[in-house]
Amino acid sequence: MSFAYPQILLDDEAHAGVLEPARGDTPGLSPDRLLWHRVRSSRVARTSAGVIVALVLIALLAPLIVAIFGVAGPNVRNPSTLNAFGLPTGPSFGHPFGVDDRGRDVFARVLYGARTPLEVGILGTALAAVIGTAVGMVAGFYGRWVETVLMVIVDALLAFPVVLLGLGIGGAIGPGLGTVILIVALTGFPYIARIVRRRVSLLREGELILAARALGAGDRRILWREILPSLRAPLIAYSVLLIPTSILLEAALSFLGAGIRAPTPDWGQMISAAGHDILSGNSAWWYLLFPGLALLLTMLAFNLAGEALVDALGELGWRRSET
Amino acid sequence: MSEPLLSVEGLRVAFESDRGVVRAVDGISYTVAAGQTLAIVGESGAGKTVSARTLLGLTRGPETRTSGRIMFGGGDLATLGEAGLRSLMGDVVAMTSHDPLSVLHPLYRVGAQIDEAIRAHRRVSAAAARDRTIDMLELVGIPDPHRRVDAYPHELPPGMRQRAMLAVALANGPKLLIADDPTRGLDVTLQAQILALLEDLRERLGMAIIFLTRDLGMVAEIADNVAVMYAGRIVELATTEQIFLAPQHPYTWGLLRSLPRLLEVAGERRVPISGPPPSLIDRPSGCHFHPRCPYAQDSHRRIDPQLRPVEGEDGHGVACLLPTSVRRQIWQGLESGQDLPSLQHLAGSLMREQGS
Amino acid sequence: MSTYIARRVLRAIVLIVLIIVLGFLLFTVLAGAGGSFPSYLKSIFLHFNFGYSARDHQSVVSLVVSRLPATLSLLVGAGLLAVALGVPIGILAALRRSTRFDRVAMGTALALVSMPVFWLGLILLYLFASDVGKIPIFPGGNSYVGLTANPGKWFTSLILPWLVLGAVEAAIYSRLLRGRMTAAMKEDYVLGARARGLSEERVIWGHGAVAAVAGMVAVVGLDIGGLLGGAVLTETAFRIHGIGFLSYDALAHSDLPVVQGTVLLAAMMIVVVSLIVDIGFAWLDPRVTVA
Repeated sequence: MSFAYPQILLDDEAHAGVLEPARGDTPGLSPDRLLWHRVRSSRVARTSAGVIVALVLIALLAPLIVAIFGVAGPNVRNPSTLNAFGLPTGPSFGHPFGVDDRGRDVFARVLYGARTPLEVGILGTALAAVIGTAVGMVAGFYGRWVETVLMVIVDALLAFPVVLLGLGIGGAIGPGLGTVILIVALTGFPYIARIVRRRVSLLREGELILAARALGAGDRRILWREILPSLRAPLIAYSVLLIPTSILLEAALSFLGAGIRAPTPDWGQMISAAGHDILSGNSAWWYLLFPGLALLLTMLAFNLAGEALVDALGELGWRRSET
Repeated sequence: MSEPLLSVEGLRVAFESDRGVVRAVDGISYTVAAGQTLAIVGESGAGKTVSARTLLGLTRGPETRTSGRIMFGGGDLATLGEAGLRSLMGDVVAMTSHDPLSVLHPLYRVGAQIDEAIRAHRRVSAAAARDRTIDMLELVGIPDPHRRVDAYPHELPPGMRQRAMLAVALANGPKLLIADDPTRGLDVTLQAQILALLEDLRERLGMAIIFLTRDLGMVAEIADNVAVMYAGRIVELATTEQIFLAPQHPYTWGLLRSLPRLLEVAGERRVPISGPPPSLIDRPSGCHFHPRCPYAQDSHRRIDPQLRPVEGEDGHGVACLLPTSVRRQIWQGLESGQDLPSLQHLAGSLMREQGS
Repeated sequence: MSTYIARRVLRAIVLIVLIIVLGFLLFTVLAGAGGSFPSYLKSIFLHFNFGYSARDHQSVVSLVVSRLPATLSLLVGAGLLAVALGVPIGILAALRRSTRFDRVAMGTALALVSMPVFWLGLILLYLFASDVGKIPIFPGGNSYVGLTANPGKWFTSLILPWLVLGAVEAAIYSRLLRGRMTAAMKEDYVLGARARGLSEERVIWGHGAVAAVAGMVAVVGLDIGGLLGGAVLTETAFRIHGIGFLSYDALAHSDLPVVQGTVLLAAMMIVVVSLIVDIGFAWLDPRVTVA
């Protein structure tokens, strides 16, 4: 499970609760604002949000940063940077992270490489959240055979080994950014669907919905106006939790050759190329190390942000109060 | 009078929390004689459970501050070490909870949990422990104990779970049983069965019981003495007869009048106590009950009443600033069905008379 | 219990059928490739035929069967290591919340779960592989041999892969258990066990940890696919010829029948393993059979 979805996303029973004010909260806030207040007061959340903003800026401003440092672009091959034996050279003043086997600047490639993980992490996860919410709401709201059929399909999708399924789909429709986003959405939405279904089926029996029904609200109105808003806070938290897994899946697929293909700079694919070299006895450690560190930093930032959000949701350990 | 089995003197328990110090138990004293039942009555948050758990050292921790004495068997449990407490717990003193499904371990069979309790205190063979386990199940009235011994807690019907939990607690024949709200959430028939069982076991095993409940109605059938707790303090301490015939504290009146009566008198309704329970961090000034007391006078916001003997009634104490004569008149008024405004008026005029 | 097992078996059968249908949808319909659904079903259900390699015409089933021992060797060893490390660390971290031990253990665990296994594997190869490493002490990539061929070499060749996959999984287990154990120690049954006068060791391990581990098993059992994903990546980094490397290598040579057949077979194996975990879990926590 070194390729794991956050465990918390698997445990749908543990997340059936609702956001309630706890000690230390400002009273009288709506659940959304409560979540926001708690997140803002968390140092971990602020730090990780800062790192994420910096990553996004790096991805957007990569050309500018590359120009400032005066290094070549990510796809510029410069044979003069290879040594007398045609091997890549390590970090130097002109190339802070060294050059790769084709004479390309690793620093520039690492900067540009931030783009795909963020695109996949955000777009793929958003797509997973939208599909998962739709499936979970319909299943939880209508219950009976609709629920049974949808959830069996969700369970069947969950049975597929994520990475191998990604290889299969990548092979079937060809690698690329769109493929990766599709795989991330397809493998991520079942987790969201399960949690949403659980919450909605509890809400369905709740007073809020019964009251709305008594006032003559139809199904669509109840789903959009009553249920969806109450899902917003937890959905944000669970979607953020899904982002690091999406990013890791993108890197893994690119590492395995089913994701982003050269020459687009991508961390997973850079690690794959470096791995080939390392295994064949080349000791060019720099283009293995730096993309991996970049990936690690990104994963840490999103993991910490997700944790801070789940802490803010306050559903861990707040169950029974002392009488 | 002989030496009591348990004597609690000035017990205080406070927890440090993010928002301040929670004074859950704020100086309570009571005694329990061997073979007698003391009921501690109060709403949730009154400190019943905390005070009872403190007897066994179960509230000890870095955030807890405890003071006072807990005299039991010639020693002070408050100063007893972990090992000493462990040898008493489950052996001489036992405890049950209101929710057998959460207090029994969900992954162990009922018999295994009784067995474990026995073997924590006695060196007996597996066969002997099993025999005793089955005897215990029989003792608490579980039919077909040879089969039920291997059931998991969730497999037993609700009434049976209470009995199984009692069997675990009584496995070593304790001298004192702390029964924490054993009738909460049960229907009336099951409540009656559990009360009868407790009464029966007390007689047969000769043990004393501390019976914690929110429902004064449970008390009449089982208790010899009653302590009414409010906001971490005992506000009234009396024999069961005194509590029902001559209650002294306005909070006790409230508890009594919120009970469903067997014979509903026409026009008489159950009257719940108004207002929320007090915060245990920022306590009300003066008498802690004054914000909810219909008869509170201005001075009651400043003066903090102590538990004092009631004149003319042996063994009856109350912590109330109203004079005894005034309280008697109000209670008579309540019993004869007078409405609240006229009684409040009566209290006011009586107080002015006394003051002048 | 027997009705519970019957229900689970039925569910597993439904899932396997659905996996096969979804496989057709994803790999044939989505890809716009031609193919007849009835003949697809017929070959799978009647002949247990998942296609043939485009390279050497071997059947996918026989390829997967021949590669399975390597994958299982990796998974079982890493799993044992992960349990041996992750369970005690998670429980101790819960018992010593906010101490230095807790902070160091959980900090390391967070770093490990944020780390791609394939990268960690390659870094270790760069440092320690006997052929290409700076400090050559362990067999390097592509050194795996079967257990029956040479048990000694089998063991040494798997040390690094086991460490990598085991450490990352241990990190996941310890994080999960820390939360579960913290919650379990607040449960009434732990208080009840104390009130029975049991020793603190018995209370912690016999009552708290047992419940925490049971909760962990339930959650981990749901994600066997994730476990296999880690193995695929580790195999690829270390060039261990298991089913993960089989798929990777097949994709690199555009041998799609092998990739797709492996996915379906793996998914079906996961359903069967989940079924076994479910039944085993019901033995551990009989409450699940009631629902």
